[in-house]
Amino acid sequence: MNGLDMQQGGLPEVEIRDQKWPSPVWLIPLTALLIGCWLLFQIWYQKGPSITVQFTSAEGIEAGKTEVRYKAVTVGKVKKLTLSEDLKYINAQIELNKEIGAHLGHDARFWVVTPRINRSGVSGLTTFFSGTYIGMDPGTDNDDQSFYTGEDRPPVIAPTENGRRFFLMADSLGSIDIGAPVFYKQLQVGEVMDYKLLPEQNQVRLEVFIRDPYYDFVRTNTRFWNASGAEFKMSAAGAEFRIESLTSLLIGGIAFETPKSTTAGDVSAEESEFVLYKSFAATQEKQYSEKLYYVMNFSGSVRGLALGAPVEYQGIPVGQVENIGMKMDAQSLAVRIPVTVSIQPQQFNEKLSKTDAENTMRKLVEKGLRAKLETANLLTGQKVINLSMEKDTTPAQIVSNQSYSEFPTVGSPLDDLPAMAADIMASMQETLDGIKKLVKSGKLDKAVDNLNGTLAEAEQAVKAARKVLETVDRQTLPTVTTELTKTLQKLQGSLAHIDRLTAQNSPTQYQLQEMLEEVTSAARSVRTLTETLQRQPTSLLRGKKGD
Amino acid sequence: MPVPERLIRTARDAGLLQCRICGCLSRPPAGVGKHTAMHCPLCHARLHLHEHNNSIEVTWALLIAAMILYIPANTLPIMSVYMMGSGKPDTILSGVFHLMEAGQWPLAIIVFGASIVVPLLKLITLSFLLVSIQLKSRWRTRERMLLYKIIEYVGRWSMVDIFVIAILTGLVQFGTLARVDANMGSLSFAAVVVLTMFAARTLDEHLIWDISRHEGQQQ
Repeated sequence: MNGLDMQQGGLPEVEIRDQKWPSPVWLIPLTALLIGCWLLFQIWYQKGPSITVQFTSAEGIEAGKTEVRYKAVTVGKVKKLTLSEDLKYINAQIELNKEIGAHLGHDARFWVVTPRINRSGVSGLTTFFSGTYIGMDPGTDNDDQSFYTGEDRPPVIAPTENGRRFFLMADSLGSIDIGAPVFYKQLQVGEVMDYKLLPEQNQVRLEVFIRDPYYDFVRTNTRFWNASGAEFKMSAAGAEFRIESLTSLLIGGIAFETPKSTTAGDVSAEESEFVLYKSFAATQEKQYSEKLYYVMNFSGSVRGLALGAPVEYQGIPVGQVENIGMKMDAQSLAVRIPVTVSIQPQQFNEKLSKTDAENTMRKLVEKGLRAKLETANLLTGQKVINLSMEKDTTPAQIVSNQSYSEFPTVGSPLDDLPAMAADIMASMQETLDGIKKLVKSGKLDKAVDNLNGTLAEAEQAVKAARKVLETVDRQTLPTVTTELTKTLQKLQGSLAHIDRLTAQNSPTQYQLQEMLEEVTSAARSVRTLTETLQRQPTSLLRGKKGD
Repeated sequence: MPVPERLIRTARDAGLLQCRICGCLSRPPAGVGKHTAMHCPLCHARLHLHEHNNSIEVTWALLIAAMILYIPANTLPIMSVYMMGSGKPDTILSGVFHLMEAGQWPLAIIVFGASIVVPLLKLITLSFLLVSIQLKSRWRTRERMLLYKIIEYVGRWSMVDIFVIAILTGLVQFGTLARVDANMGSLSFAAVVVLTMFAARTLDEHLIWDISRHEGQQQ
């Protein structure tokens, strides 16, 4: 700076540098622009599909507030609520996140989650604080659509959980509800997901979900049964009590098991169908699809024969009573009681076809197979129908003149205990009458007179014998006589003892008398009992009915 | 202003440049282009002819940035208030409407004024001032000067919104019972306020005068 002075001419010149770049201050709007673009991109990127879900009620749903959640994560929001054109439904316009939108399938499900109390407990408690929300399940494929129908109740298990679904066919639902547990060896391995009435089959189809790895235990020959509550059975075999778990006692449940008697089948495929048996006991019975129906006309009372009572062949159940009816002939006023039974011929032979089975039954009847009503349980008076081979019967055939063929029956000689007891009583009466007649006829007096004569003659004979003995005594056998005397003395002692025993007031006499009285009263009691039993066979179990 | 403008002589009137840092007077070379950077021969600081002051450039840059961010600041939610688990994010405008629905008219007007009108007015006014400077307008110089002063003073009050959000977000965190979250919009809004404040600062108010005087000299 040596050339610097205050003269204008000596002023230094300004330094010139080339400026290639515009001022760095422009980085600020550039950054702002980038941020703005990024925000816009984010909004655009996060914007997922907009769908419409139809619900029956908008209860708890608020436009702009109600969230859509999947596994408790918010994935969308209700934007608008509109009524459907027919005013029956409400359409919720939902905006979903991009992430969930990419996984939305055609089978996606939506449901409203509100706090609810069912038999399994209280669920959806968080909604007390967060308000109602819409739960969703994105489904399996990516084939999304813009309209869905919402469900009224939340599904129990999200299908993302590993496991398999099976269908169970049941005659009735019983006390099973959605969420009811499924047990295997009393271990909870799954849940009931859904149930549906199939009008064509008139059956209930339950959908159960068995978790991984327990579905391996569901084989092709596995049997499911309704394990709801307690099972108490009083049968011809006695009393039986069975309970699966306390939970199932309260909310019902299903259990399954593969029978040990048969070899385990293959692992069942997804969505296989099974029969849901009514009880554990029902699974133990062999079930065959082929059934032959017969009508049996019994002459006597069918009291004690219940619907479902077994039809047995030599103690093995082969069928059951399906119906007990009553038919009266208007002219003759004769009443018949036709009992309809079903017999599973495959119980006799598994390879029998239906037509073969019918022929076989015919042949068996020709050989003497008859149906008999028998008491299975003396205590309860329950009856079963027993099929047995009778030897001396009039030949009979299966008559097929009605809707069901008629199976020949035979009355049992020991039809039942009361009848038998009455028979015994009657014959005893007869015997007593005979004795009475004999006594009154005078024949007995004559016989006694004859006996008197005989006795007199015997006396004389004895006297004569005495004379002989006296001579013998004196002359030949004094020693023998003394022996004999001794023996006689001993005998006399014994006789005296017997005399004492049989004396008028001896204890033995008294005891005997007492016993006889007891026996008499016992016989009377038996008589009353048999009479009562004949009238009311169940009175033993339930007590005598008051008149 | 009693002093005649003609009597005031400045370095520029003499065709010289004075360094603002070291006070060194220097002579600009002939034919200086607009984008030529001039530096003080003594201290090497940047020298500016007033016409080429980068004040305008910087102000424009900040203003444009603020304009860009003004869009997300008003369209994106600035704050989410959750009470008893229910709630949703609010933009500035929806917040104003909520206040109006609740009958809080004075508050609604304050929020509307401080958060929507003031930033917008600032953006418009600064743009107007910049354009008028660049057009070398002599129209109502004193009023424009007043406008600038008002803008610079009022601008900072827009930060009230941001402070409220900051305090609420820090204080109200009771989990499910009550929760306040700040959203992207509040960041944009804060950026808008700060950028306009800086823009007001960087705008050299001398320029409003400078042009009129310079041109007055030429006449």
